[in-house]
Amino acid sequence: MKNKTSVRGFLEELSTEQLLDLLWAEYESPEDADEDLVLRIMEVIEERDELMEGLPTTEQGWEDFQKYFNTPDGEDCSPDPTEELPGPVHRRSRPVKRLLTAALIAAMLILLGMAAVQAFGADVFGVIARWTDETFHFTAVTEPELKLEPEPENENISPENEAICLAVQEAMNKCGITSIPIPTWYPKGSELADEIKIFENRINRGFRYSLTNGDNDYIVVIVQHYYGTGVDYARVFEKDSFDVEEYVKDDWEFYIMSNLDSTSVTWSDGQTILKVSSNTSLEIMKNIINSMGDYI
Amino acid sequence: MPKKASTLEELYEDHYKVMIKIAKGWLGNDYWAEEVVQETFCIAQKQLEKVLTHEKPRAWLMKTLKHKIQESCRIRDQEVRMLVTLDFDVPSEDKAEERLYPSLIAEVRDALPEELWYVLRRHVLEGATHLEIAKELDITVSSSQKRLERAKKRLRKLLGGKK
Repeated sequence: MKNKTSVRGFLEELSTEQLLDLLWAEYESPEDADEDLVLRIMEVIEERDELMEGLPTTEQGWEDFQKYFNTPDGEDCSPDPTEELPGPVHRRSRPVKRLLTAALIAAMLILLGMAAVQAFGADVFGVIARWTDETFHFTAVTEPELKLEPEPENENISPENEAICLAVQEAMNKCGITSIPIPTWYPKGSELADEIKIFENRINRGFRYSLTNGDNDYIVVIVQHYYGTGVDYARVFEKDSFDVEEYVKDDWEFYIMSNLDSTSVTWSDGQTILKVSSNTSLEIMKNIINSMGDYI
Repeated sequence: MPKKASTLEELYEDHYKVMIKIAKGWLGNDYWAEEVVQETFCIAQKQLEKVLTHEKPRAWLMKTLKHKIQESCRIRDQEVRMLVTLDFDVPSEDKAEERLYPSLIAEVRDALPEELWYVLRRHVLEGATHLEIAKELDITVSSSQKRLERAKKRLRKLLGGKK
């Protein structure tokens, strides 16, 4: 205790600049930093209020964090499409040239059934995907979708994935969305990184969540149900210059694209958009797509 | 003994203030300081359970912040060097704004779509952080970073030069 008081007293005598230099030097030394010393230096710095001048408060910082940083990778804050001109409509399947390196992370692909969309009075239209070298977006068309088949029940969800499926199901229920297909296959060790976030604004409602395996790998899923004329108001997704691959599973058409170190899979029925982004491999993403069709 | 944080928000409330003071002290720039601190919390979020159960979460955050600052400085230096070595052979310690010739700037500007040029100009030539750019354009920090990467890739392809 006496030693701690002496050290503390010594540190308090130092200027802020000296404390910062001492802190930096502690990390730069060839041996591991003395954590106790680091923490004591930080205590003294924490008490010096003049350093906060010009800096955002904790509350402002948290707001900035939510708005500018705590978003799915590559997503734009703006609710409106950019001024990018749409490119030609691509219908043929083309191979994705980029080979992605990644560890294994689970992805969840959620589809909203037609019945759920109809329940909210929205007209169901078809959708065309358009992309350029820089962006991707969906455009609703006037040809109506007519499929309203009931969703099959799933009986084979593995126990370790059940918790994730149930959490997503609960989110869907809170959003008033039913008939959710949930994949039953997840790579081992996958778990929700945080609580599922539900949102609603004047343009859309939905939810998003992320999964992790404890390393730096991630998968982020967003489901957005648009009001009114639907996905015409949807965001434009940024992408790199590699081709978009169309991938069909059962009667669903998915679009796979890359944006530098991340891959995204997206789907839309003209009213709702699903997007899954990850730094996982293309093979894993396709496995997740292939597991679609099992329902809770 | 103060209660240990059990969520990211509580962790943020407990440690943000001291971290941003230190970051500003080291970097000398408010926006840059906020950006590296926020990115540190992004990393913490991805490893949240590990951080929350760590014996000394503040020490973990501080170490991560320090690495983030080093990485950020290194990337900035590389970006400046990349730009100045596209067509001209200049010493690496020279800053872009002191050595770039008007014709090169014009060539770079013509080679890029407006949205990519804006990010490159603001970040590499004018020293703005991605957070500042994100607020100006109402995009996320991640989008700003990716636009800069695309600008660099396009320049390497179109104008040649060293990495």
